[in-house]
Amino acid sequence: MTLVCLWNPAAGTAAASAELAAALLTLAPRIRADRAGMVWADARGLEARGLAGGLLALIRERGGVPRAGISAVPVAAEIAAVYGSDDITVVEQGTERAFLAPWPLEVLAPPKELVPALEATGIERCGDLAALELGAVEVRFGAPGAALWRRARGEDTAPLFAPMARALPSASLEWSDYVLHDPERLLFILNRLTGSVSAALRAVGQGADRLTLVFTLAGGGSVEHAVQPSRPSADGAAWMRLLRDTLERVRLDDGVVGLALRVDAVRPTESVQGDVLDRGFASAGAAEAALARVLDRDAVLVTARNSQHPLVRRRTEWIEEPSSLVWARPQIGAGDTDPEIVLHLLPEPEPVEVEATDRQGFAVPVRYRGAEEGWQEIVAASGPDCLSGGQWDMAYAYEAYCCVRGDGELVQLCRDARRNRWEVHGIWR
Amino acid sequence: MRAPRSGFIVADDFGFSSGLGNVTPSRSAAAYALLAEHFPDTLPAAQRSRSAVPTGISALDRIFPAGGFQRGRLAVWSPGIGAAALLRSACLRTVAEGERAVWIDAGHLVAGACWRAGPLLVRPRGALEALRAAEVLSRSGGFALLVVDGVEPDTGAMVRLSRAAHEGGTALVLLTRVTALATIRLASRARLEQYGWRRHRRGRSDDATAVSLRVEARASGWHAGTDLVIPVWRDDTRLSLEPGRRDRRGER
Repeated sequence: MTLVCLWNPAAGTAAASAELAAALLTLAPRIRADRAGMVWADARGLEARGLAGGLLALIRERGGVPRAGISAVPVAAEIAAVYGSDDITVVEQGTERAFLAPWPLEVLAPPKELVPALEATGIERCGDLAALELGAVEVRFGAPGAALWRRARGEDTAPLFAPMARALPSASLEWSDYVLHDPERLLFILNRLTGSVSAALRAVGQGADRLTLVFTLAGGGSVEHAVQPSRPSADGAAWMRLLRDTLERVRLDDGVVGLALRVDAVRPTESVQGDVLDRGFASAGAAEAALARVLDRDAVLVTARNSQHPLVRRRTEWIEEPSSLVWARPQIGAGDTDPEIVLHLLPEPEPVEVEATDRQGFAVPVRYRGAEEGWQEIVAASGPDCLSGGQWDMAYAYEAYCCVRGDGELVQLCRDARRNRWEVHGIWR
Repeated sequence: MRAPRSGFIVADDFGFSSGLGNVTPSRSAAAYALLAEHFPDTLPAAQRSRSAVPTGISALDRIFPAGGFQRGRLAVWSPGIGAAALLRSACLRTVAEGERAVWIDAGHLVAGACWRAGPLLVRPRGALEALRAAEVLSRSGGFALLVVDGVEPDTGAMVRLSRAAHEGGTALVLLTRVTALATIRLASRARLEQYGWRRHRRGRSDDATAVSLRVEARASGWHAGTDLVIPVWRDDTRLSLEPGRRDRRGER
């Protein structure tokens, strides 16, 4: 990025600089009024010297006596403008450090507490400081010294202007001779619009995170429908599946005389480094595309985030993942593949009728019967694990038993102590 | 043997022997070398075709006709104790081998506390969506092993799934009682008398620490079985008073 720093001591206040900046916007796309007398212009993509000349002329017309500095590094441009002898001083890229070297350190406006220390060590010019090693500067002058050292070397990379947002692609078509009611014909037009938007996104390596379909109605007005794919994608075929679904659901009050497809949000598409030792790499693209189709309407891909909650049912937060998860290569140790009979939870606890016996004050189940099955004998019931906690509506109090049934199945039977009823919570599988 | 037109031919292990007379092992090695010299792109069929997807449990793999779940084939495992555990282990093993495995949890039964990261866990919105997801994923060819748990498909769905698995080369396993069109049918049965127990001296019933199973595999002209012992997962954090600290009350 090339910057033009304009120094106009005649504009003595920040307000005057701001007023001047507004006028300069007629010449430069982006202007920033930094402090009294100083204005910055973004010259990226422009002929910097010509722009600076135009800006200086405009300031002179308003009674100023300005100078300009041009550089890619803000500190170099600022010093060139403030202390330069010519109207326009250009600091070529790569020569910033050499340009700054002969200037006294005062031009960098060092923090007051550093000045005595710098004077005591005999560092007078920017070049003297820049020649030192960062470690040595940091040890002696701390973080402020290190920041000053970077400025003295022309390594001041703080962005003055935020990156400009790229206009998001869109495509539209309007017709006035006729009115469309037929979804098939709308789909045909939509297909063309999708192809155009998809190509625009693919060209910049981005995928649409959210799309909006806009119908212009014959009677005036428009109707918008947002579409959100499960992953950022520039794949027109994937969008068409979603847009077709949307089109099938849409009910419009009037005929359509215009259709527009607008991308509302984008994200960079995944680009993955290949690995010749990864047996699944070659098929990862196909796997991701298929998974994206599934996630668009049929299912969610999840990973578990577990807490330390005593209840297994409340321990897990399921995190929805994008289809790009197929590119991940999880590390699995040798012992991780050993089989283990683990608890599977029923979607909801299932109330059951239980016959119990007393054991040290606890009711221990000896057999149970669900709504749709006969009595199940229990061979062994280990427990109870007394689980209680929570507050208000989240309160819970269970006596949980791991029961071995007569047929060898292991079930988790819990007595809900708050409601005094028995439930099957899960089964070991 | 005719010279290849495209520079790539496939010969089975001894397919070329008809042109070379009877081939002994030592001569076959020489013949392979000769073949490789003249047709550098040639691959024996045994090397070209990929192996089955093993479960990683040698005793179990031995009862499969192919040494594991066959790619491009539909297998069913009757729901019962141990079935999910062994299939989960097979999925982990598949991922550890650098391939991809997916578990479709149609019944939303998987407990996060017991799930080991590795296989992709897909939770469909319903039974129909589960079958549709299984079809799409099987057909993609991007997954070596796909397990569907919690659906009872009809025969029509089995036909679709079988065809999708065949087209994608995926080893598709359904945890279901429906066995139509399955190339192999597996069932696991508990052997209660051989369960492992942790004995308590008094006041508390014994804990089952390991489950003993009889797993049987049936295919056309094939019947084999094996006995396995699998440990039972215990919830170590169930009584923890502080996060990250295991509850050790009651332990000696």
